[in-house]
Amino acid sequence: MDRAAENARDQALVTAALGGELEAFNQLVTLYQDYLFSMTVRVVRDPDISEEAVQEAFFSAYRNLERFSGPSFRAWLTRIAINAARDMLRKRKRRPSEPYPEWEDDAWQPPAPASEGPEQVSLAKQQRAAIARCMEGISEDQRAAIVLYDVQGFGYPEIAAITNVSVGTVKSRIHRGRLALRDCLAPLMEPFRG
Amino acid sequence: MSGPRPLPPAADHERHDALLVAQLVAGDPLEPEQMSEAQRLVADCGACAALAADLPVVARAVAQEPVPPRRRDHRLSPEQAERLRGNALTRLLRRFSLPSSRAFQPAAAGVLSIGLLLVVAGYAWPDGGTVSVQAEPNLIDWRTAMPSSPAAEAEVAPVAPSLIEAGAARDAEAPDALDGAAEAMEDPEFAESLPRSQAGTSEGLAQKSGAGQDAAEGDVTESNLAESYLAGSAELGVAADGIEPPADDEAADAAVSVADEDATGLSPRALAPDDARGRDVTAEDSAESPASVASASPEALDDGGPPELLVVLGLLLALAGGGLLLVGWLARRARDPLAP
Repeated sequence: MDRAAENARDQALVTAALGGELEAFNQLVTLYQDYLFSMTVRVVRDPDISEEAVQEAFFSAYRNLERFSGPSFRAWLTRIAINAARDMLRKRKRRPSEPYPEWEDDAWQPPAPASEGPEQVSLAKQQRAAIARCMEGISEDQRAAIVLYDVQGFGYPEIAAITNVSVGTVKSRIHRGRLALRDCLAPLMEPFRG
Repeated sequence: MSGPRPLPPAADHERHDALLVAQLVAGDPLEPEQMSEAQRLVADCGACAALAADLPVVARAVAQEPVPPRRRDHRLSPEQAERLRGNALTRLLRRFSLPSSRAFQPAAAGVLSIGLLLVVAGYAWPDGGTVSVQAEPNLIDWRTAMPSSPAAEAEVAPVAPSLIEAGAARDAEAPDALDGAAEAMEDPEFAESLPRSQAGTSEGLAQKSGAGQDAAEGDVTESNLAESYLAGSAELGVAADGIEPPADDEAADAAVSVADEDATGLSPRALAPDDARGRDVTAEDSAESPASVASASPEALDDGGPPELLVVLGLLLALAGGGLLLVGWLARRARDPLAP
């Protein structure tokens, strides 16, 4: 579905939800909850915080649905979720907790293709661990910008609107974040290139 | 994806602008000089070329990073939805915080400012909303100067006869009416029917009728008229600075006319015909008297003009503006911090 069709569908659901149809809003939740979770978990690096952030984002979206003025409900929701995730992260920083072990846990990892041998599976695991470690090593702002650009496919102006900074700042965060990731991954770059 | 080109890293690679290479790789618009510099770095420096090749690989690796699965369903239950909608006040305040209500706050501040300006302008009005004694000695607002408590009235009562005596000179031209009033005053039934505030003046009226007779005999002169006028002002606590004894008959007449009617609370000329018909004088009758004075000289006794109107209007506007600002402030406080 292209962006224009997606926006039109979302606008119709928002209108219905504003008219009092809870089911219409829940359709929006169904459409976007996986997207929001995968986006926020990459930014905050903690599934529990991410779940809370997504919950708060949908609560806030429901309360403030009248404020949505288009065109992209996805971008509007992303902005709320990023704000919620940062809010949660700030609270977490005030109350330090144990490092989250789930990124090291393979139980949730997608199954490796049958064609891959044990060596390749082990290599893939190392790569994932390296990416996770290096992503945690860059700043939260750089992480958010990289996730929105490289993973979610937003353009510079959209990211600027979502994160409430200038386009130049967005570019700077993305490029500096990528350079930092490359430095971090340098010893392990050969398998990635392959 | 091909690997980095087999170029040796330049000796001064540490001084190369890696950010410029990153911008080139991302396809960002660059100035012509920056573009040629970035291309030169990638072409001549092996390390910069390796960097340019690695950056897309890094971006792809980040995008392919797997994430844990979502564990909760975030759809809202009807109870949650009801709670999130909030009560009527919350919804109202939320409405005031909408972007479409953005002009609301400046408008409220404007209304408040205009209101305050009007209040200030009302107080700064040249006459201050009351008639100035210094400006026009004959235009004393006796209604404001007149004490209203019984004790104050007792103080004023002795003054009234002197003023009335002076006024009698003016009324000497209507001896018939005064005679009628005097007769009415002598009637004990009528004296009892007078309100207390006027009881002290009945004696004055009686004297006045006598004074009217005296005046007819030429006892009242211009000089004792002015003296009694100033004495009355002093007794009533009215600032009489700059008041000169009226120099001519007309001024004396005007002063006496005003003092005469208001000091007694009764207008002898208005009272006389009614009394002559034997009607009881009531509080309503005495309330008519100031109105008749005001109609006699509206410019002199006009105390409900523009200044008071400005102050009242200003206060109303300031209150309205302040109230709207308060609502806006509450709306801002009630606003969801997560909402764009």
